Amino acid sequence: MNEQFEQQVFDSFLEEAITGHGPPDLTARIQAAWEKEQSEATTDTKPLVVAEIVAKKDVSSGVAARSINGKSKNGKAFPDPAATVSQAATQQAGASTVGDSTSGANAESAPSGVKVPTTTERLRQATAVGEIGGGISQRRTVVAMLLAVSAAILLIVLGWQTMFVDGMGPSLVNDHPPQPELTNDQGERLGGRERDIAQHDRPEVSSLENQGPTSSDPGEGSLELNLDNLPFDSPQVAGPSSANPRANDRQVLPQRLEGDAVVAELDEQLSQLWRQVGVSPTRTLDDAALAEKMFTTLVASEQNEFKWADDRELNRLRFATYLTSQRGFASKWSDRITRQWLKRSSLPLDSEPVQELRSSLAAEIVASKPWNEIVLDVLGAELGESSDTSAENVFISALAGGGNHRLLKRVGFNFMNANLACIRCHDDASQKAEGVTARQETYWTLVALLNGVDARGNFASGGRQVTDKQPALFGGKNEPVAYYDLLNGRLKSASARMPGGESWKSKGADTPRKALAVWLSNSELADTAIVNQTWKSLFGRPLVLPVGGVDVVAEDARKRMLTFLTGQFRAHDRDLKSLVGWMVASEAFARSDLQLEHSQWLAANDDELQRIQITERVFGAANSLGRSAEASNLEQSVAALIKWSSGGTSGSALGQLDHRSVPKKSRRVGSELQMPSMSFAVHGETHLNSEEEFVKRLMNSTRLSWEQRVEHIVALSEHGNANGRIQQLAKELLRENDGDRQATLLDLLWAVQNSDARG
Amino acid sequence: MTADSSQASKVGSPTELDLTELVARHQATVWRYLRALGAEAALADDLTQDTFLEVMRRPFQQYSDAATASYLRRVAHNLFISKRRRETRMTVTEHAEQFESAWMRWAGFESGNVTLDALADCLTRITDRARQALNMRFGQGSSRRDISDALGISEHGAKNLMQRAKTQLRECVEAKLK
Repeated sequence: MNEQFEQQVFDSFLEEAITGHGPPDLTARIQAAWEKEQSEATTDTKPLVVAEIVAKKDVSSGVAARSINGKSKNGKAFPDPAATVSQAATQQAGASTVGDSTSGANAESAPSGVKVPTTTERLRQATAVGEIGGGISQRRTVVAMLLAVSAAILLIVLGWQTMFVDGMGPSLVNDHPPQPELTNDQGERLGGRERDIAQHDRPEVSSLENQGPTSSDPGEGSLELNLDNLPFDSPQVAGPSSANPRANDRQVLPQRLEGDAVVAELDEQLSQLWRQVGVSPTRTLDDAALAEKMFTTLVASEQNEFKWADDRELNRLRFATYLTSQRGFASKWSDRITRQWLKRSSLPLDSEPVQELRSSLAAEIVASKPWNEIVLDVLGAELGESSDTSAENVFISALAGGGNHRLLKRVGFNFMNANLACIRCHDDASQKAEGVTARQETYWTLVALLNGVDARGNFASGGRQVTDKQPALFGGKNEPVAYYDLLNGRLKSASARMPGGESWKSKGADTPRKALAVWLSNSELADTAIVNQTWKSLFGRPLVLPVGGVDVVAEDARKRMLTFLTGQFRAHDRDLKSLVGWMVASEAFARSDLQLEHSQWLAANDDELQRIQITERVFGAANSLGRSAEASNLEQSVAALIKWSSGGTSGSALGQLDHRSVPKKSRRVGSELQMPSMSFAVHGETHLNSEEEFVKRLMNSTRLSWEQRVEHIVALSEHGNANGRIQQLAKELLRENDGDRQATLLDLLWAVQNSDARG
Repeated sequence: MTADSSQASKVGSPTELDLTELVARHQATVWRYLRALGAEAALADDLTQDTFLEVMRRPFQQYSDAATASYLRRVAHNLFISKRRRETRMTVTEHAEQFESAWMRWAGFESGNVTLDALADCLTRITDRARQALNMRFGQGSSRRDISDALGISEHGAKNLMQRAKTQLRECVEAKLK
């Protein structure tokens, strides 16, 4: 899409260059329009009222009273107010002249026999409403005036938002909800910081549907951006799953347990999880099979092979520790991490800088370099104003550019344990969203922190060129901000601040990007992210999904496990080898696969399939996701769905065993029904209630087009992108599903999970 | 605008809004941006005017030319979208950031004059046939068929010719803008 826009912009310049039709000078036109607008705004009815009142005064002097329709009670039309004004003015002039001089000419203009009040007297009479002669019509006029003024004030207070909801233009307001009165348990009103904390604990009110216009200060005529009042000025307290990012991590470390104790505690929590959900884990792999699985996962390559002596008893943690100390583990794991970071980036995974990064990571793993230092190196690398890609800057070089949204998405998954794509456009709609990573403001603050960082293809070398203009952009007093749209169409801005709210300069770095690197490297978010991603590498899905509300099976228990592992990871100096060792030595890793024959699958009803699915989701069975050929990428997973859907009927020889009313996605090949892959058979045919609810919310949103709904599903993927090809495949799948949009979105959800599991 | 406020603007402290100065500095950017979005010339004139009137109705403090230009482009973008919505009910706000990024790539913090100068020079370096094809396409709005007839090549050939020419021009302009 970005390429298309770049072409579009270039074409417009090309057209101007060729035709010579450049921007006209609209200065005079704009000036005239503005002046006209200003003059219309200052025109009001006061003179008319004054004239009317003056005329009424004339009533007492003999001029007929004015009625609503402009005619006198005796049927004669009233004099034109302007004429009345001029008459009054003449009278005033006459009066003042009479009072001031003995000029004969002026004296003649005063009607004879009529006492002409002086100017001062007239004005006093005009404004002293109560003194004007009684009469219902006069009181009506006064009431009408008061009502008009009240209505104008009401419109200013209430009507402002209505104009902009209809899209007549942006408004740049300092939007945040009005502060409610909050009290503590003793009934005392909370002060500023306490109020902030209490407010933060309140559930998010926004949803895809209910994002109404945010309130604005009604009295705010100026749109000055008062940065001091933006929410990030107040320190945000993170939710239970993430610590206050400003806390010194040495002060919040849990008690460090030895490796055996960590594994024992992990196994205990897994047992509780399985009991809570009511699943029976699959059988435990025997020693030989488990040892082989550990070896294959951690160190296997073409250069080595494994053989386990049958008479040996496997000590899982000891064996895992041994394997993770091998050079092969560092090599294999650095490859996984590099792939996770840079898959589908702008640099091929086999390019020289990426290979150098892989080697450098392997060396750091061997040396047990604390993971947070690696994060600091990767994000805070020196870039220079313009430099070619190197191993040091490859993470940024491969992902930056195009507004840095792709870079942020990878930073989110790998260093913040968050799917930041969700909060690019709105606050996280999940009810359980907590912490700074649930807010749209956070996303755009991060965009602002990366302002000035860019990368583009180097046509000459075939590589990438990364630029960092932050020293120049942020060197002075005025720093660039990031503008973004709220769902109600309003415009807001975000400045370069830490997600916790403090200034980037408080981190002691010379640019915002480096400050972000420092902040993240000390943040529990980064620790949680690596724990979750490591779990995902081993088990095919993260321990806790970074997006809330989609997979909620025993979510609290899984969050406790994640918190426990993160704490021990920090206590063990963020040693990646230890972390991997614990996970591989756990009961979850020792689970065998679930086996499902075709006939069993056909015969299974929804509840049975869901039981199987949940067993895998709580790691009671080895994960079937990601192990089939079509899981290599999202497009292939969707293409497989289309293939299965196009051949699917329930009219088979085994049809009498099918208890389901909806045919399963089998494909007929000759006279045989071909079962889809195990991962689809388990996870694609039925879905969790929470997944169905998630899709239903998308379907119920009137704001979203079909393409945007597809984008929402694909955005759950770590590496997927709802590009033209995916949209086309989604439309094809929709056709195969006979236009059933909900079923199609659920199918896409499976495709996302399947391709993500492969990594 | 007085010299003092002009100086203040240059060093980056907030300045009061002066319409004439604002228009003089930014109208070209806004107009070109609207044209790049797809507005016809007359619509671009109207929306450029509306953009400045809109910001004058809601004065803001200017921190830098770049920030002001960015804000004006966003206002223009929203006005364009509103116009299109009323006409065709099209929603494109989700691409605003990408479009802005694409704009920045070619125009940067300038109004586009530098890019146009570069483009003018680069146009002299492509072949006559390519230049003729682009002139017919952009200057006269000719169809691919007319272009292919004029040049004595197939329609597919005409498409390729223009595609290659544009690629050369992009590379040439990028090299100059570096």
